[in-house]
Amino acid sequence: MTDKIKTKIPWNPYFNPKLPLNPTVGPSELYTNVEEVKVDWKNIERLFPQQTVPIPPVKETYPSGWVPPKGSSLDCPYHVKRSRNHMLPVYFVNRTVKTQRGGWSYTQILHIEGDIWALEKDLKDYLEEYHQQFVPSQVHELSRWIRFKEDHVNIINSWLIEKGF
Amino acid sequence: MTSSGVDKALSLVRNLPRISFNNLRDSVGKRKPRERCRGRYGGKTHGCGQKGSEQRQAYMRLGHEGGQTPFYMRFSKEPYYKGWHLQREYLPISLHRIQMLIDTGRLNPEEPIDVTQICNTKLFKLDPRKKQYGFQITDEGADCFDAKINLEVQYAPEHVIAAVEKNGGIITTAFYDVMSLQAAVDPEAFFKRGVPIPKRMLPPHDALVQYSDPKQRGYLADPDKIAEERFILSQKYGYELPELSQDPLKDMLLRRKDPRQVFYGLMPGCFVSLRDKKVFAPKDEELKRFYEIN
Repeated sequence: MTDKIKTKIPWNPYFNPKLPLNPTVGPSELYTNVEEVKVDWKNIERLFPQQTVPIPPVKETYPSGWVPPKGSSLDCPYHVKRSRNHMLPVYFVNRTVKTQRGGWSYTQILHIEGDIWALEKDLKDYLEEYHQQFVPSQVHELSRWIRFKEDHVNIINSWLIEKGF
Repeated sequence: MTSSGVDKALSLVRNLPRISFNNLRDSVGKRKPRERCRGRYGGKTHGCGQKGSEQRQAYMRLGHEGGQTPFYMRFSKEPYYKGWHLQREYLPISLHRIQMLIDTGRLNPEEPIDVTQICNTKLFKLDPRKKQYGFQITDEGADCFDAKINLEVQYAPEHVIAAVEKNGGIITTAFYDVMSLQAAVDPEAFFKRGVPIPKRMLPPHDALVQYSDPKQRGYLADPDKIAEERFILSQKYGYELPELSQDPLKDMLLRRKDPRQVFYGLMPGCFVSLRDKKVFAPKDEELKRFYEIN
């Protein structure tokens, strides 16, 4: 049994080249003639966005506090890759759950390469020493992320920058 | 200490082919064919019940309680949403964020920064259809702000204006109506529509005061009064106003849009042909007068 392939005729003028894009309505005398205006095309190209995220320029200091990745030591068994916008992939997630259990919040670190368990151990030791308290964590080997309960974004960011990530 | 279940899962991931549309299917029973009202069990009343307004398709309106004062009419009205459809929303961007964008090369400080340039970073979602009329700058990061820019936004408080002007920059607050804003947010999509560039409309009466105020650096305010206010602000916050006339970027910093202009370098009423890389203006005198093309 052969399946009939139905081809729909697009009614939208953008997809059907046979239909006029901006059809004229009314007599052509009411439509104005146009003349070319000499314009520097570079000014108009400035209005369009870049197709890719630009590489950050090399400067001595960055007033906003952004630090470029320096490169970690070769002994390090793990690596944390920057996001596509050249930022550290550490995010604070605050979930509100509308039940008696209340919400839960965690800090998530993404884009981990290498020995994820070694990174979790190092970070956990650092955070527990910092807070003098047990810090619950979760490791997801497949998706390559680690979560720590509560907000540790700034602490983890400074630790990662020290490591050179 | 991994369990055998985890090992099995990981070995599956290693050995199975890549997931694609040609090796995925719905679970059994997920999509059921629609049951038509035919035969012994689907027939007779066909799912409409017995007599009454339901079977006769004369349904009562939603909320009707058979004549009893319905729940939605039992209580007095409260003006919680009065004027809600007229309210304007300005998306906040902190000065720290702008500094970060300049540092990482997303925003170019050697060109005027307006709504189009901020939207072109693709980091902000501005939807004019949701009553979002532009951007406002918040003062987080005002102490560390160190960029000389020509900034055009829709609202900025005094502290932010001081931070920008202290570094030798210029800040202007300008109004964009919905049609002009839709063009400014995505110029490429707008040019592809083949519609002439709109004439930017003046602000509504409740915003006219703000945009004519030199203290808020409104685009309709008197430039002499703005110069006065720049000096007064520098005295208030205790910094020296940098000399603009000596600046190499003076032309760029003093560049400003006409109140009826949406894009730098393009007048209202023009068409832009992206394929031919040409700009066309109307010849008709009446249209020229309307678009104030000289």
